Amino acid sequence: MSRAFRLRVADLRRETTEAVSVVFDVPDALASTFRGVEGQHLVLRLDIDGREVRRPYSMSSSPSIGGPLTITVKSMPDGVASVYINNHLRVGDEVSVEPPAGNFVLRANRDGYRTYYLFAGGSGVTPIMSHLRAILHSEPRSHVRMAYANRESKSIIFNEELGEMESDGRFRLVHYLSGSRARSWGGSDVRRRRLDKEEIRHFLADHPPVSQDCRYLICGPPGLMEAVEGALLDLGVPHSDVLLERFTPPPAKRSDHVFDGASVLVDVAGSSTSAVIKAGDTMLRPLIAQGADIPFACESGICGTCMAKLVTGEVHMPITFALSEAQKSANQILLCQAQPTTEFVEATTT
Amino acid sequence: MSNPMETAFGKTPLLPAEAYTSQDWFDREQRDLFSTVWQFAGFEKDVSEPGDYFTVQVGLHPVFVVRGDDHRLRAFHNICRHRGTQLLRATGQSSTGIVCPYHNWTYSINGELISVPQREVFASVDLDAVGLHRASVETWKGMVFVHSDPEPESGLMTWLASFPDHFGPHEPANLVEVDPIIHEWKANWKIVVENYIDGYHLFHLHAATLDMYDHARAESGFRGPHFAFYEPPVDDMRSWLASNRSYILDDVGEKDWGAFVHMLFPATGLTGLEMSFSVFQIIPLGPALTRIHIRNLTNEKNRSAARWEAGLSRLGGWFSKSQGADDPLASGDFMEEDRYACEQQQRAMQSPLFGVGATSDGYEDGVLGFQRNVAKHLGEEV
Ligand SMILES: Cc1cc2nc3c(=O)[nH]c(=O)nc-3n(C[C@H](O)[C@H](O)[C@H](O)COP(=O)(O)OP(=O)(O)OC[C@H]3O[C@@H](n4cnc5c(N)ncnc54)[C@H](O)[C@@H]3O)c2cc1C
Ligand code: FES
Ligand code: FES
Ligand SMILES: [Fe+2]
Repeated sequence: MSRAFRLRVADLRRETTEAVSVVFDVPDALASTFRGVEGQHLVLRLDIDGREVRRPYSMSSSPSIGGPLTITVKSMPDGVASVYINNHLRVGDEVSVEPPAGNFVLRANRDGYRTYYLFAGGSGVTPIMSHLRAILHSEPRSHVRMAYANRESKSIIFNEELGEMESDGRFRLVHYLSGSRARSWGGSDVRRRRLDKEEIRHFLADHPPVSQDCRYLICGPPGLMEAVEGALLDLGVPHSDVLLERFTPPPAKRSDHVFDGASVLVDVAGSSTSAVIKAGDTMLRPLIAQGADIPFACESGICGTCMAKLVTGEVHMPITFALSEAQKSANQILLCQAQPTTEFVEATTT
Repeated sequence: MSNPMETAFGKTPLLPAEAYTSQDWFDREQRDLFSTVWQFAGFEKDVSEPGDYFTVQVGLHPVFVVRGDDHRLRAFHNICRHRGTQLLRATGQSSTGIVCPYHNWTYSINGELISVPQREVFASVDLDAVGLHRASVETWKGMVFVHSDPEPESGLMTWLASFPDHFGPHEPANLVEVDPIIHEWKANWKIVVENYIDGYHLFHLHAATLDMYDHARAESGFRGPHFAFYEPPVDDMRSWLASNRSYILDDVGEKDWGAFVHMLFPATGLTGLEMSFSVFQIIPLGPALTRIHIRNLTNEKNRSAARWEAGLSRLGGWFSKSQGADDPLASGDFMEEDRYACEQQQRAMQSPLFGVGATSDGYEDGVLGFQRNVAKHLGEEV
């Protein structure tokens, strides 16, 4: 169900010239609805030039520790939502926000004794920061090793807070700066290199695990994520220990088998809507145009907001990052990706 | 006089004499105790590079620990999935894979079966799903612990219970190793453990060898099944330490001077002193034969032999090998004193009159607590 609530912007904190943190005021009545867990995202429904724009943003706050609900948004060149949030949003504005959702979440082990490897690039640091604070706070035996890639030092989000956290002996941070004008600053471990496969190998060798129960969290630009995940799997890290959060989709694969003019039917909370889908189109927009109240956000197969269960027929989905293997085998689909490959398709969001 | 308990006139021991002499007890301990608990297996530095491995016996289970390319440690049962042949011996390096000596089945250091010679002769079986049986490995303060079960009932930290809070200031990961010492004593492993945690004999058997610590001010107790013990130095020792600070480990501050002498259940002694940290692996070989593998760590400064020996001369022959005296009780070496006491006790158990007459309040509580924990694992009523 697509539920959104009007939240007031309580504060705006400039993190870097390109990134801003947005602090929301959550009324007591909504406190439990908006609590969420570390690593989850909110979907913002922004009204920009009379058009509704939906975008998911990870919480940079850590719900298990407390503190106000916060997201941190980096301005993308010509980005509709991110530029608006950075340049036009004001304290006191009200924004439509969906409660926290998403699978980039951790479950502590029984002993609270783990080694966490955190890999972040650019704005990908937001959900990583949310986890980092919570781990150091709630798992006094766990250790964290973090590699954080940026172009140059002035674009490092949370640089100061991270620097302070380094005084906790259980946390070690290495900055990787790829830009030509990158420079080091006092106290921190800075490598003027791209965080590529070779560097990841060195990083693991320099930071062997303290506890042997390890988790690897990755969030950043697609190239970096691919390099880190690939390097880890090459080195023998089990797939099940790696947790990824993607902000941007990779180029989509096309299918020749899509059906032109398929009839689709979707059930959303007991009310049915049908539509006809042209070859190459996904089910989401035509169904919404016919009045279906389908929740969605990224429209790129990564946030999982538009998930539904396939009841009849088959679909092709170019991108399915938001689906776990279990969800795929349970016939869950993403309506923003689903292109019918059969004449009739029926799905339900409940 | 068939029941040894009849000779008792005070608090009696909890375990019968045959617990120390019979093959049946020994076999049950291997199966129901040593196969089912976390045990010290070595130091992280023993396997510092990808492909480094060591083997260890965990009760009935031969296990090996190997460091992966991701620098994580993994533990596997040291038996080939084809016909069970032992795969690895002792210690070594095997970064390219683990090859069974019998028919050359080859496993990756992550335990996957990666090659089978003449695979066509196994056409009817699915070898893709085959891998080495996993065991568990976890590390704490640079020490490696193993468990035979891939999903043990409790993790290492749960097993250690509140022991870490009483462990003391030592950071074994910061230290370097000096020569290990291996003893074989003709005594049941439990006699060796009981001797290690017996606070009463310190005053007497070791009156001349361990007199630098103040036994009367010892603090000890069980933390979970583990026995934690600390005693401060006597004044003489304290002033000697104050004028020889260069020998003292960086992690051991003045308030922590003294002897931390712990016993991780069932059979790993951990001894942290001002200048050293040692692990006593007490390894049962038979009902009346026990190997004691002592691994000694110190700092880089002390490792140079001259300084080490000079520093330790105060410690009544702690690590200086035999001092040449034929009489163990005059050797000046407390380990020899302990060996004598343990082996004599074992021998006495053959006597129909053998019995423990009484157990002291306080100083010997550890012994009874230890016996209670052994009995619990074997399902014995005490
Ligand atoms: C689960 C999740 C969590 C996220 N969390 C965060 C977060 O914490 N912080 C954060 O900053 N972002 C986060 N994002 C990304 C965020 O949702 C937006 O995608 C991002 O802010 C860009 O949106 P936009 O409207 O500004 O840009 P858009 O207008 O959507 O454009 C995105 C980029 O693509 C370029 N582009 C647009 N159209 C085209 C085109 N036709 N051809 C080529 N290039 C084009 C734009 O120039 C821009 O650089 C998250 C995304 C997901 C899926
Ligand atoms: S809207 Fe994000 S996965 Fe479909
Ligand atoms: S027993 Fe190992 S290959 Fe045959
Ligand atoms: Fe002794």
